[in-house]
Amino acid sequence: MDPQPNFFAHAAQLVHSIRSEVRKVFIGQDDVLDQVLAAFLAGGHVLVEGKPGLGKTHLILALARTFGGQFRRIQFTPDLMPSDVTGHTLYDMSSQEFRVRKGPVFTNLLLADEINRAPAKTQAALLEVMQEWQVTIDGESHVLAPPFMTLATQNPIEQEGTYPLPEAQLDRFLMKVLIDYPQQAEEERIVNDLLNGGGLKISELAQVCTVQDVLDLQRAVGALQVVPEVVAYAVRLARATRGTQGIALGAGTRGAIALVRVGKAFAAMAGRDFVTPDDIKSAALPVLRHRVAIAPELAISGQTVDQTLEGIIRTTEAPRR
Amino acid sequence: MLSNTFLKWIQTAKSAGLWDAVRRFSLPRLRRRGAGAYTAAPWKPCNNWIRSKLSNSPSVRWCIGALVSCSWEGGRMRLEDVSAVIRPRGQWEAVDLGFAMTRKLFPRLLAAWSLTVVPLWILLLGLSWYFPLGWVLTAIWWLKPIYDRVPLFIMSRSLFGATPTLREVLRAWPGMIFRRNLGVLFYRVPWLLVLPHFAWSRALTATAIDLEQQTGKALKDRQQVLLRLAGSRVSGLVALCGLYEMILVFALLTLGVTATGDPTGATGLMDAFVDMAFSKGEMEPWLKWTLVLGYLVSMTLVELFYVGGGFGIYLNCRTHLEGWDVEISFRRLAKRLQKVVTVLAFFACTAGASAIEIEKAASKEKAAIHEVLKQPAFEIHKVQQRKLTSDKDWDFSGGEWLASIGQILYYAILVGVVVWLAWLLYVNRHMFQRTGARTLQKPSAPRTIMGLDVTPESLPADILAAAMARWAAGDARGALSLLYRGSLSWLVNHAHLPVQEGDTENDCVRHTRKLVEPVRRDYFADLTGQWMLVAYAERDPAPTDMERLLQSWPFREQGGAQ
Repeated sequence: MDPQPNFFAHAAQLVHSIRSEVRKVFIGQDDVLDQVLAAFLAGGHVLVEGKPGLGKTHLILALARTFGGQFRRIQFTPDLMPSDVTGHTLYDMSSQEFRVRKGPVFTNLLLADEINRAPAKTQAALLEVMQEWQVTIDGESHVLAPPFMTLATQNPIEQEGTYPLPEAQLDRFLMKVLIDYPQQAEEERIVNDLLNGGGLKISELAQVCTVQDVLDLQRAVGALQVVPEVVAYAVRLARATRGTQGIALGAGTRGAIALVRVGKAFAAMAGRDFVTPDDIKSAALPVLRHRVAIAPELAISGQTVDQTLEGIIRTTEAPRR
Repeated sequence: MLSNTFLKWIQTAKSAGLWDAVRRFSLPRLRRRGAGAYTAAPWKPCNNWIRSKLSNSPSVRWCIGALVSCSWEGGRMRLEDVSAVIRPRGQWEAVDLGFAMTRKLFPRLLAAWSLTVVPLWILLLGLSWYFPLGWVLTAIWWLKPIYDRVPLFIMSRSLFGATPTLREVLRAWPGMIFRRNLGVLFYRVPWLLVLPHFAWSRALTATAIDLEQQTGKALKDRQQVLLRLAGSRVSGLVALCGLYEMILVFALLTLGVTATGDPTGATGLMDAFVDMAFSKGEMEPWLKWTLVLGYLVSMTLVELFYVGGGFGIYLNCRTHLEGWDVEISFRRLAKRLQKVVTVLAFFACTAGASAIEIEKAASKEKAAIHEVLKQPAFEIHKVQQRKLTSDKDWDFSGGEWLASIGQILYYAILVGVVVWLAWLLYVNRHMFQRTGARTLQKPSAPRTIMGLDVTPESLPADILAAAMARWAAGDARGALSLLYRGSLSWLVNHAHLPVQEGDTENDCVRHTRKLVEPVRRDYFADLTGQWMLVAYAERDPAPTDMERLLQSWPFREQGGAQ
């Protein structure tokens, strides 16, 4: 059953409330917050890249707080084992039986900090959970309770001793969000808040909705109508990345699907029950930037992926309706 | 008067057959020595041989040197006036000599260049109003051999102590372009393009053509001789100058961007190149004209040294081939001996000798020279001719076969290069697209936006009436479509709304913010919202909204799309 149009006005109000609460502790990063919220509503996972100390943990903690969800954090290190992520069975001497000890992935929001520090085997364990939404421990499958979103971070500075995620696994993230330093005024506000009594604590944030509200929202976003022309626009954008000179690896079909999913989320956040080309256009950069790889000669010349994608977005024909 | 008498005496000796004797004596020796520098003027290599072998025979040196000097009298060059130190040099040292001459004459060369070549460029660039800029630049590049004649004219005369004034250069400039150069250019330039060998040696061959004024087979022979001696070095000079020219273009471009003081200038420059790459060739006008300016400035700076280097090599070739250094020494010797001739002439005069008597005296001298040539040192014992192919040290039977393979390879590579160049031109054809006057005009308005035909002729004369009629007939979508297309058409044709291929409906709304007054802007935003509802939510507008849009249509007074 399709949600009623006025449901989306309510959805927009709900998203606005969540955004307002999170902004109390996550200052000066509105675009990042919107993108993470869109990924959350679309039921996807986010790869965050940025300098350390920009409030990524705050963002996830605050978001979990607003809907009363669970939050876990894993610091990825070179000696982290897959079972440290997913969980393992343990023989309980008192009950004389094996008991499952669930790992940190059994949560609503998971912060996988510095995911590229763990070896490929551990990364693969997490990525499998992200894809399947279930964990198999000693042959027994355990389904994760929705909603579930992983926010993985990568450290762009230190490359020594890291295991970069391969392209196929990067594709499993719905979005790659870039987080940068806030503006002067906002940074001053953060510093002042901390110096004058520590500012607002996350525990003081209000819960504005329930887990069930979030699930309803996610279902409604998934059921949003998209006219064929807008879908064709998303596909054209994804295909344009494959045929453009200077791009070594273009976005796959999963990229086009992700564009429409995030476009739906943006539409819902705007209170609309239909997706416009602008929603797809807004989603293009965060959805496509980790799915394309520019050719070495272009990279050497100082060209970035974002600049290349902006050129593609600018020249890709908007929908004909 | 007296020196003329002396030279006349020498001429007489030459006409008496002494010259033939010298040739008979020297050429077989030169051939036996494998002298590759045997030229169309066969007496010239004598000097090399003389320089190496006959230095201990002052009488012979004087005698033959005087004859050789005589052969140059009456020409334009007077070697005794040469202002540079003439001696056999390595070819790179000769390039240095040429560069030094350019440096010494740089103000004069630059001034002459500015008065002759730069106005021609301005004229050619003016043609970019009518022709694509790419073709104009190709023409500017194509005419390089003509420009080179300006510095060559100055340097060649300065070498002999007669630096031309700017007035003289200006007077000679039309001749450089028209008198024989057009013909030379049109038969030479295609060769320069087709055969890289000639193009790469233009610095030397063009100098020889301009200074020696030879044509036909003589010219071909001359080029072969010069290229055999300095072909590889002159190619190196061309490659270096070409490289410097390119580096200088980008260096000047970067300097210009840096000088603007804009910290994002370099990034903007890179963005402009990237935009050009992705938008298939439409270069930003400021970048295009900065590049043109940079190219012309770098060509000015590099070409002067290029011509100087080529001229230095040319001088060195002639010194090697024709023994200019020996000749200069002979001339100095002749100058010193002129006093003796003066005394002889004095005695001749006092004896009442007439011109006929001088001729007789010349006959005596001829006899004396014959006497000299009869000495054992000048005796020709044996004349032997040897073919290189029969040399036992190089008896390789597959030589011809190998040469054929090499020739086939050469032509295969040549064809490959031509095909590659053609392909390169085809791939980058957008660089030669028509620019100029058309790009300076306002770009023509788009005919379709987001798939909607927005040309005035596709819309009814009275858009509002037509929209109202459709609304009354229950076709809300048709009515709204007419209003939206009419608005877009007005914005594109009257307000010059900049619409790109990737712009969406909201992008168009954003573009109107600075273009139109608030009433039209707000109406268009409202209309766009309603249109998107119809287009993407497939929902008809509410009657009240539709009535409002029809009542407040702000593009009516100017006839909508008209």
